[in-house]
Amino acid sequence: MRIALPMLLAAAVALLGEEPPGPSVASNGHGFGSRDSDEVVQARARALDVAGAFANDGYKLRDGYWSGLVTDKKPLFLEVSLFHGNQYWFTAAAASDNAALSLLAFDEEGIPLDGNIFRDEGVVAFGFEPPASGRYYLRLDLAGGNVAAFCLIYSYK
Amino acid sequence: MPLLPLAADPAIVPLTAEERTSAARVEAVTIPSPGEFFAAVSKTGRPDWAAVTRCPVNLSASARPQIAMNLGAMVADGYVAVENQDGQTVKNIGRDIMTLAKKLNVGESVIARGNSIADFAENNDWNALKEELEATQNEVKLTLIEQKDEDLVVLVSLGAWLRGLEVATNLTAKSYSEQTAALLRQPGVADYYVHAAGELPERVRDDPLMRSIRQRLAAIHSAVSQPVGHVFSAAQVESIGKIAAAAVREICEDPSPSPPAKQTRGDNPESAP
Repeated sequence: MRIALPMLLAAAVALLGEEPPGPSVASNGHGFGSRDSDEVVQARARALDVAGAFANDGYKLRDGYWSGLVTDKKPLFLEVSLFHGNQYWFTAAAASDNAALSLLAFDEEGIPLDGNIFRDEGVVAFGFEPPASGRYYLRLDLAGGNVAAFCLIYSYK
Repeated sequence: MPLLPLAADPAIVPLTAEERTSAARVEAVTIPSPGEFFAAVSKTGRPDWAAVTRCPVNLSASARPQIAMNLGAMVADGYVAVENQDGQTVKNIGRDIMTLAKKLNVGESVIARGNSIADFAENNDWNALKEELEATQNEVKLTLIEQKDEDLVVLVSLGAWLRGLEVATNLTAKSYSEQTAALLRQPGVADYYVHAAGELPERVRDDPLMRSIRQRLAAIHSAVSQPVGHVFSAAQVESIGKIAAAAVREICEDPSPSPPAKQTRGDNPESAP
């Protein structure tokens, strides 16, 4: 039996009056095809649709992804390791159009980075060239709606 | 597709240390693939990929953690062969990956991937091969998770990373450049693996091979966790390379005291002892 995770989580938040626990619950630990909810599957399909345009520009898509639930009260953060010389696009999508996502990148000191943004209904992509090889952080925010299932993928060249 | 350039808005608040510490680490996106690493290496010059191709690798290990790391290292070898545009070696490596996958009881799930690798290699479709290699690795990991072998998942990735480091340091040693050497700065990756290896169940973590690998991991972690802007000297590159090479050698060694006739690439995997 599949339960719509956003409903379940929203109910849990309402009952407990607490914010959901950190990344270990909100995000997919492995990110390559675990048993995802329908919403995550849908979000991934939408992200792949957008990332297809980057593939036309020579970007290769990573096979894995980050997924879970994001709420409007708590941004989520993802650590990645990138290489200077490569160019990257990170694409995040929600299952529905009315979730306004925002995506930003930060260096290992937490300083925001310059880049390019693509935004559409329920989808956002951030592209940039890392100034140095090492750790970077992505911040995913939800503006429209209380909670949304999301999927983030990335491409590089 | 309309794109908007975004100059970092002064109103965007930098991340706090707590926010950075709380960041999720999802292996499939937090850890770069060997293809991603080698794509960056390729941009720094004209790497001699043929010179870093390994001789036939020992496939006879029977301990599952060792097999998992060996499989990961083999995937990295696949990327090297793709960069070298050597279709026959790619096909050979594809067969070896299948052999190791069968030893982990995940062979059935990657048969189709193995066939795809051979087909793409036959058609010299190097871009598709890069994606197929990663997809194969992830297919192995997913099947390991489904059969409750989660401990082996990180070891597959670890084997690939160690072999990738060995390759990159060898390339840099043959033709040193600061740009290539700078790619060795991977504190997040090293940190991830040190932490993950420490979280393995005791029976795996305290295995003699894993103890040795963890010691080498700690040394690599120290060497690659340099400040931004650090210039890796040729000596530092060589040092990292030696540690990575030693780790890869241990991963591929047959640990039994009186090994039977070794099964290597070129032998019929169906007649393996």
